Amino acid sequence: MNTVSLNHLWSYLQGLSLTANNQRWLSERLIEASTTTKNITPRHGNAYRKQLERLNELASLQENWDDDGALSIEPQVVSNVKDILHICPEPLLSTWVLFPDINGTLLIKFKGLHASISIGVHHYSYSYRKEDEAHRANNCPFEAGSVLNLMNSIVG
Amino acid sequence: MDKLDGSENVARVLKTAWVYDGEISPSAFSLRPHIRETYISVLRELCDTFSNDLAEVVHRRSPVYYAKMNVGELRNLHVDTIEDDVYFDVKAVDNLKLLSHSGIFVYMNNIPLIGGEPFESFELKRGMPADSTLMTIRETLSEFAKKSIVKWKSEVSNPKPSNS
Repeated sequence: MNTVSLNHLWSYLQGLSLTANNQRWLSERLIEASTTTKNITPRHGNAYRKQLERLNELASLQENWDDDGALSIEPQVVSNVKDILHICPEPLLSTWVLFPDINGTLLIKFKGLHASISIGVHHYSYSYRKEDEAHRANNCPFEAGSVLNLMNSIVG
Repeated sequence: MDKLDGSENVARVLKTAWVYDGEISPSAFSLRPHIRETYISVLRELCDTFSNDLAEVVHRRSPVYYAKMNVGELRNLHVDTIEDDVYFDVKAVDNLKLLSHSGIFVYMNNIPLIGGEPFESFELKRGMPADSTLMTIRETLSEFAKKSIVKWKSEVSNPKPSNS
């Protein structure tokens, strides 16, 4: 709400027949609401929008999307990647692309790097090379924060 | 199966789903587990039938993209899998329809890899993440393939009816 809107609201409130108790009640409710509202800033950066668009595109793939028997993407896998998008900083979002894999999972491929993360329903696997050292692991329990830490290790 | 000469180039046709934002999906170099694939299909550029075979593979006469890979360089690719020795070879594979048909074979510790084996528990189960060793192998090939992407358009104006 901008200042003009707030002034209009104040004029309206002043025109109401509010007793002193009503006014105290209203002010207490407003103060209470202001201290409990979670300040979630939605991500509206270009990288986030692009990734979300890509994710939605892949989520709509039908069975046999590659004409060779590939499975459609598992809904939980889509949800997992959405969780990653929500917490991934905008600059980091630009460093990777999403691809579908044939068994209903999604692959995060880092641009120009030998690095990828496979996101499954309950687990993820990864493989990357950094400073001439290979890193890989299978079946890590999925948690968006862990994947984000991994991404920072790959790119950082 | 005859091994191809190192000077030859082979083409891996890239499906639309495998190309995005300048990157090639490592999935383009999977040995498909549900058909126990033993090689990654490619076509030999040197073959006289290459253009016709390409058109046959894509079932349409419109621009497509393929990754052009040199056989000698493929054989020399290093795959950093930590414990295992992985290398690639390229051989001609008989195909009645596609005379230029060949395959990239993947060997781990001198044993040819087959789709779904020995990592059956990962690849065959829906929603399971890929095996990390296979991810390394596919990554290596996709980064290598990215070096030379060719846009190919058929010169034939009339579309050929699909046989499928």
